[in-house]
Amino acid sequence: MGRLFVFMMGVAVLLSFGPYVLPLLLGAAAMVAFVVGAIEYATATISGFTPLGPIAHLRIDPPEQTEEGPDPAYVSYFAGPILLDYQQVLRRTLVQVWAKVVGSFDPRKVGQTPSLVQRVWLWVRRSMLWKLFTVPTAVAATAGLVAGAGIALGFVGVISVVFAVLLVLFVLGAVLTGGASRLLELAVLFARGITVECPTCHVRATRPVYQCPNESCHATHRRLLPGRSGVLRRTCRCRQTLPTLLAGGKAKLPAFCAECSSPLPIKGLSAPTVHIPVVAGPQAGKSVFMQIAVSRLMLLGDGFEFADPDAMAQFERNLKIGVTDDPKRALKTVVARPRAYNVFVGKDGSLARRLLYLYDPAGEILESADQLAEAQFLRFTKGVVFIVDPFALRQVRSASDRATLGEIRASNTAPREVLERFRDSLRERMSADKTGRINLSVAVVVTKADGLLDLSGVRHPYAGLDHVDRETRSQAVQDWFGEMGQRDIVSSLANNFARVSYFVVSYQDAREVTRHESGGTAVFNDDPAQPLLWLLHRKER
Amino acid sequence: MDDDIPRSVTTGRRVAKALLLFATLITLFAAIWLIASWVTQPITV
Repeated sequence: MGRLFVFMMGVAVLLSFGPYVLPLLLGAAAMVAFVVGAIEYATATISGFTPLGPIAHLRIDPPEQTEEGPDPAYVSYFAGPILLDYQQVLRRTLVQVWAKVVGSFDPRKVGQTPSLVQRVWLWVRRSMLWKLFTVPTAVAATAGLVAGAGIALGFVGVISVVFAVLLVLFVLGAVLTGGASRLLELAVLFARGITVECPTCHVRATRPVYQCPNESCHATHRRLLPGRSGVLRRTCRCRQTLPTLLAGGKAKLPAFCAECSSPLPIKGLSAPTVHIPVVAGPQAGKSVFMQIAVSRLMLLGDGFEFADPDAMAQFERNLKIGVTDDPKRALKTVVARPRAYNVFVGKDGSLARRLLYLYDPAGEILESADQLAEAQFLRFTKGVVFIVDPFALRQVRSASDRATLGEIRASNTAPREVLERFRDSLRERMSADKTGRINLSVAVVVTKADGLLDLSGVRHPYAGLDHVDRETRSQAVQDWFGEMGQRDIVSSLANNFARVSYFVVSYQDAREVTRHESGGTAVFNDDPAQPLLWLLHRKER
Repeated sequence: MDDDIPRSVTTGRRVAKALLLFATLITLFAAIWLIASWVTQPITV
């Protein structure tokens, strides 16, 4: 009877105070579990996103370099690996929260460190208090702990959704930025007419192949554009970061033609290209003219820069063998597909900067109509330098003795023949305007002017001419052609080309345009750089 | 060990942490705002 009475009293107490105490206990347990969940989530986030943490699970290793395969670059962290890192964070959070609050999923870990729920029931088992009080307490605590863990995981779920939205917005922003930058880049290139052509095979390089500048790597990237490997920059397999846009410095990377793998000009796609073939028959003086013209361009400054190590090497080689001191030392141009000689003219960063492609085709190519027909470089011609060896003209040859002709290495090909073949080849590729002229500028350059200084019976074209403007000097040369019985060349040029100007140059002015004597009068030749500058629409110097 | 991890990953992880912190703050503020709205809801009698 006594025991029954005590039991009834216990029930009464439980029913009296239970509705107040047990919910409080449930709430407190839920808060404890929630705090545990929050701490575990924060810990998992810090360790999951630690900058120097393991990366094996990210699968970002670059593919091996192959001919046609993907570029050897790391996948961008935001193109997938970030989700793998976050997946690890969530997995760790779930496992840890459940293990610490309820009990481990891993049977091997059962009994190692008791969870909160397990501790509660351990207390119930070991407690000296009446089970009538401890069991309801434990039930309330357990319910609170599980609910708290559930709420914490639910909170993590909501954060994950918000994180995903922010991530999508971030990636979208980056993709749009990259895409817009690329479109802007293309628009600027189109508006400024900037392209790059292979100096060897003469095709337009629409997709240059870029090479990693790292000396120990040199991996080639065939598609160095904003994409999965990075929006504004990508990481090469050697960890070198490479820009994907020209504005980021991509133009400074070594680039190669996708067709023939030859090197493209350094800093190509940074300035519009101007293709200028130097046309004449064999031994007319094309190579010497190129050497002295480039020499003067270099001395004039104005942003001059070699865009091709081979061009610089060739220039230095000619300088070393003394071509500008004695043109006879110039080596015969090899009869092969001409490779362009690339130089920059114009201040770096200015709109006036141009990338010159100077072609020095062997005279034999220009003598042959078939070889001219195959000359791919003519497609991009914007201006022509037409070299006239005065000692190839009949009247001048008649006034010269054999020794002089040998000394000066006179060309045996009549300029008119070369002009006609070249004109015909151009007409096949270019359209004429309403007057029937090819819309092209031609700088006619009379070379070997030094040989005309002391020739009896033949005057120097500028003899008796003071410093006058370009038009007057050009007219003086035309008049000289008329005197030499070559009015037909002048007429042919005027009838076939939209713009023609005449120049007279000599190797003696390679370093500085100096005063010469001819028949007792002072003579000043044109600056050897002037024909090129005229073709580029530069001001008179 | 630094050399084994591309800089794009280390930078990306820092950005990810910042995004996650921002997401947590947004969620917290949203939760507080919802609870406050519920608590201060006028009682209909």
